[in-house]
Amino acid sequence: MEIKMENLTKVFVAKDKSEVRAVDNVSLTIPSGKLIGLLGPSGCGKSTTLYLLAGLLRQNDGKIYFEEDEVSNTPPEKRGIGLVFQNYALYPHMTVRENILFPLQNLKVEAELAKQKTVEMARLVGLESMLDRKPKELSGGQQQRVAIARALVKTPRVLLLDEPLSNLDARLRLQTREEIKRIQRETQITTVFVTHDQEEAMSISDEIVVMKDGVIQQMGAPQDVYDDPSNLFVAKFLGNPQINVFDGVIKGKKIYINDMVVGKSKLPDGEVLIGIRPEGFIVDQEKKSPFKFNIDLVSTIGRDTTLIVDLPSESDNILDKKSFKAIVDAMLRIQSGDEIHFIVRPEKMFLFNMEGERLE
Amino acid sequence: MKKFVLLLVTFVIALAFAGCVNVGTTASTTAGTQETTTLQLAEELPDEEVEITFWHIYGTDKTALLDQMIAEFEAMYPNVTITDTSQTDYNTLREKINMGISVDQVPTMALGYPDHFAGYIEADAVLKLDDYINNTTEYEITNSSSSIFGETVTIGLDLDDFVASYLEENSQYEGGYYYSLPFSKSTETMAVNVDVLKAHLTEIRAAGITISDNGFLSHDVPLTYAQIEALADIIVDTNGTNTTTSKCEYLLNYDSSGNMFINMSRQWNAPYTNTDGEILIDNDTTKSMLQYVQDLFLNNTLALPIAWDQSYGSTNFKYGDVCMSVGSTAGVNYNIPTDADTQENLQFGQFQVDFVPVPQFVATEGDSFTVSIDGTDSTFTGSLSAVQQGPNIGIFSSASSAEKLYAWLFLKYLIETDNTAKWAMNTGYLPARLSSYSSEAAIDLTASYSTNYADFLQIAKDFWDADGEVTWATTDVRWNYLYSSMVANIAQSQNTYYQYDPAFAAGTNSAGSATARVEAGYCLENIYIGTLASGSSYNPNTALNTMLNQLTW
Amino acid sequence: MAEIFVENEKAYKRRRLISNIVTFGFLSLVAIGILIPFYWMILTSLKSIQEIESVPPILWLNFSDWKITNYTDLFLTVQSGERAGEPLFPFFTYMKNTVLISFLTTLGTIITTILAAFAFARLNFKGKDTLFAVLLATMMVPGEIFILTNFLTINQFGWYDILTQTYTEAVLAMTIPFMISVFYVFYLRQTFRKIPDELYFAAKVDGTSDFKYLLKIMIPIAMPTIVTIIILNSMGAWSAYIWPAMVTTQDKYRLVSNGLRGAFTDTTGRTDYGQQMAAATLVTVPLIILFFTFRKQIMRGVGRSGIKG
Ligand SMILES: Nc1ncnc2c1ncn2[C@@H]1O[C@H](COP(=O)(O)OP(=O)(O)OP(=O)(O)O)[C@@H](O)[C@H]1O
Ligand SMILES: [Mg+2]
Repeated sequence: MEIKMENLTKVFVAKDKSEVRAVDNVSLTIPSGKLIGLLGPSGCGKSTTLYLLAGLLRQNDGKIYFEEDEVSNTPPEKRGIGLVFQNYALYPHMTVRENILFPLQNLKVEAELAKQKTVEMARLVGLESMLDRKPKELSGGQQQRVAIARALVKTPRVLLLDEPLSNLDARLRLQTREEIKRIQRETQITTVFVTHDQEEAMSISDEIVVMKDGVIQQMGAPQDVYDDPSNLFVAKFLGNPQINVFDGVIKGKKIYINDMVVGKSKLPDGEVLIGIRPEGFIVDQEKKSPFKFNIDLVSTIGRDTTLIVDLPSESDNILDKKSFKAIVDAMLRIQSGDEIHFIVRPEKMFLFNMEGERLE
Repeated sequence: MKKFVLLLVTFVIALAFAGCVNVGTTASTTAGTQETTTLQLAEELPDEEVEITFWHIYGTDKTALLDQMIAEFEAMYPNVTITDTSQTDYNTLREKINMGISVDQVPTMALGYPDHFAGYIEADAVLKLDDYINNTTEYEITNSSSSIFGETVTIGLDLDDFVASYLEENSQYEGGYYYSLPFSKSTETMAVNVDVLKAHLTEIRAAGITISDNGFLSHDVPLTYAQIEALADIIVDTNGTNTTTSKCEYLLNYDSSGNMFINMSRQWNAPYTNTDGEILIDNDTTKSMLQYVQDLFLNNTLALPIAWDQSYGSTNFKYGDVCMSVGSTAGVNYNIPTDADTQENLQFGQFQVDFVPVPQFVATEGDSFTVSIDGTDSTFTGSLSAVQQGPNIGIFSSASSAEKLYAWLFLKYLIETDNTAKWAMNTGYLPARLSSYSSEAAIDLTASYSTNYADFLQIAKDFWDADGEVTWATTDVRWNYLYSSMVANIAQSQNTYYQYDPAFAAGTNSAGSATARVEAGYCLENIYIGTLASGSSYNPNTALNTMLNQLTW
Repeated sequence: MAEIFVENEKAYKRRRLISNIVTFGFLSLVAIGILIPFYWMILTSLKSIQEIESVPPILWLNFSDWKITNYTDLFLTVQSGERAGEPLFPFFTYMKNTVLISFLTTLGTIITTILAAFAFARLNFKGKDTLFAVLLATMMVPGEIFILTNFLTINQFGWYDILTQTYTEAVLAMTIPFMISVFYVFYLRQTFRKIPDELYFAAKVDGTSDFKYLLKIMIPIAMPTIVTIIILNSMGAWSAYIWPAMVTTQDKYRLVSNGLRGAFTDTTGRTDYGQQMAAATLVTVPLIILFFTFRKQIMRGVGRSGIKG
């Protein structure tokens, strides 16, 4: 089912009358049957957006459509959504079975059928054997799966997941991530997956939506957004290690960093911010490129070597020191102190104006 | 749903506050001092159905006789129904009436102490009984179903037949009117360990105290404190009770320290309180009196039950720790050692107990007496005084005139000579009327034993006349009533100098009379404790000041 | 290495033993402290007046010395007169009233407490905080003051008419004013507030109404607190004395507590402690039975944690 948000706005008024625009004029269409990753730093309004979709919060402005139906004023229990909370919010006094059964009872599903569905759902999330345990007798991952089962059992039109993996350890997180993906594929339920972990979002989502301060920054397929960020914020937010940002200038169709030419541009002369992804550096074996540095630190993990380079700066203050990271092939056996010439791949380099807006 | 819950919550909160909103309804009619309004009674005795409620605090076991009197009264006036109910205890009874006054929910008549009535009078809720007492109306009973058909009933009441002090007590209120009449009365008497006295006959006689060969003291003439001191010299062994020398650790126990303070103040003519609610204890006579009491404490002449961590001294009297004990007439039998006691505890065995009047300072009213206080002799003018206490009955003014009339007739019936005698015998209280002492109405005490009050009094008289050497069979029922008979006789001999405790409700400057009595008791207890701890260096004025602070503000 | 390990283990075991002795010793003392009054009550209920007064006190009674009449006398009836056949101490009437009053008061209290606590913890309405502050402020008003106001209210409702009061009116008068407790509302609200918002949201998404959420989620989770309130409240109602005496006009409407205090005093105001304690024992026994029956439920709750997250 397609979800459409039109100019959705939510303003919180705090006790001291100060306003927070948690969701600011958001217009967004989520295609049917897709898994969307809603991504952004803490406090950017992800949960708020989710709660607006769920009907748990009332928007100050704007509209929400599920397919053709406007649901802006529909109470949560009538929206037919499944919601998995960051902390699962399982009913602590109920067993797994009762937890999963609960939404069905509220929908007045016939008892036998409800029982059957509960067991089915438990099987889907692999918890058949634990139906009679209480939540506190389960591991974090198991609880999380109960939460998913509870959200899915009533075959919701929309599944909303609010940072469901944040409490899990790295391995479990990976595993559950795959599981969610699998379940979503099997059920084909339109899903919104909130996270502030870009890697998680990238790996699980059909499309990602990047948010900042209540405003949508960019939406698209994960790789597209990565490869073509619409602003410095998005560029910085995606990718690990983070994109390197240099102060640069354009002079005569050439791009300079520290008076070294790194590429060409058709843009007019002026100061720019240059973002280069760590994997965008190629070591110039022939040492012809003017873009060269002495390497300060080298760390090799498996195939990749990360080079850390301190940029020369006028001041001696440590805080003013800037450095950048380049990821290169470990086979090169670079050592700290080596002087390396870099060639920058143009597709890994993005130019931004001083406000962080993408140029070109 | 939200709305519904909200509504419920609001309702709940409203309920919680409901209590606060109705305070304004207390209508206060200002008490216009009605000067002797002569009561205009109906020509004929009202024959409408009348329902009278009578509130008391007696438990089911004690109401049997009351029920019987009610039944008799209802037979006399078939149109009257009397419902008597217990309101559990005096405090609840008083509070219920006090609150009930503001919402017109008071019984027709109720049992109560003078300070209770003082409070009701302030709220203008009690009926002035003078109008009935002095009324000369007579009614002929024309209802043929009445048990007194054809007889004539008088409304008026002859007060001369009542113990004077009871009358004073019940007319102590503003204007000197009667707002209640005496019902259940008691006084204090002194229990004596006859066996111990008998062992010291010669010494006691040498001290000038009249005592019979078998150790019985006079039952008409009270001991004086001078004699008490002399007896202490003879009998007290400060090292503890010694059965071989027949000596007790203490001479005299006084159960109610509150009564002792009040009664002794009277005996010394020391101001205490008055009906206006003034606290007068801050005076030199009271201070001297307390000094004197402290001296009695110091040489074990006098003890309070707290000496043994008890509320009453009767147990230790039985055990022989103390040889004399002043206590309420209602508690007679607690002083008698019997088979039921743990025999090892009875140091003098099952000794003979006698009852005598409470000690006085003078032989006749107005005599002077001299006491030695801290080695110096001081002289005071004394009075005779014995405490009288116990509840009275009053009628409430909100009742209809017919209800009031029948309530009055019922009250009058309750305190008729014969009924008073019956009530006294059954409950252990004392008759409120003088004529009851010679009442010949038969009283069934057990299924097989019936007597009358005069004969009942005779039991102790016969015993005393024989100097304790009566030839009654051990199964003779008179043994069962001997001690009650003794105290009834003693009470009778004391009733000419009964004194009541002026009653007043708590006011703007001081506490009520009930609190004053309690604090008076604490005062003596504090002196007792202080003296035990620091001997003669303890200053009794400390306790007096504490008492004063508690009572005035 | 192994030696040291064994040494340590020994030391550990010794410390464990000592700490156990201290702990259990302390607990035993506390238990004895709690049991002594019960023992004393039962002992006194089997003594004669003289044995009760005995100095030094009698600490143990042989079976042959038991004064069973203290108990049997409670069930004696009035021999003659208007009240013939009525029990001297209407134990069963008192007991019935006490159970009924405790039950109704507690039921009422728990309903109002739950609803009010829910409203203050969960719902949003204008002036909520002010209202709550006002409610809390009423806790500072001494209870005696409410006696007067409640009395007037009861009278206004027509439940206190000394001539015509019926049993139903007496029951209403005894229960209604005590069907709300600000303290319990506060106490339960605190518990309710500890339940995370997410549970509420989850329940909403799962299709519950506010009321159903309260019923199905909040109440079960707050059960330990609610059980505590039930116990405290029933105990309070069980031993209430002044109010039941104030608003009942007849003895047969009253509670065991009223009976216990009034019935066994003689004309001097002295109490027959033997009989009083016998009656007290009979009153306490149901409470003890109740406790042992619901021991598990009572004990459980306390340790149960709210929600994992
Ligand atoms: N009930 C509320 N009242 C006032 N402000 C709120 C409320 N809920 C959220 N906010 C504010 O709205 C903004 C967005 O909050 P939201 O919970 O949507 O962030 P988030 O993106 O989910 O962050 P996180 O990743 O930390 O969960 C924050 O600045 C937050 O402080
Ligand atoms: Mg969030």
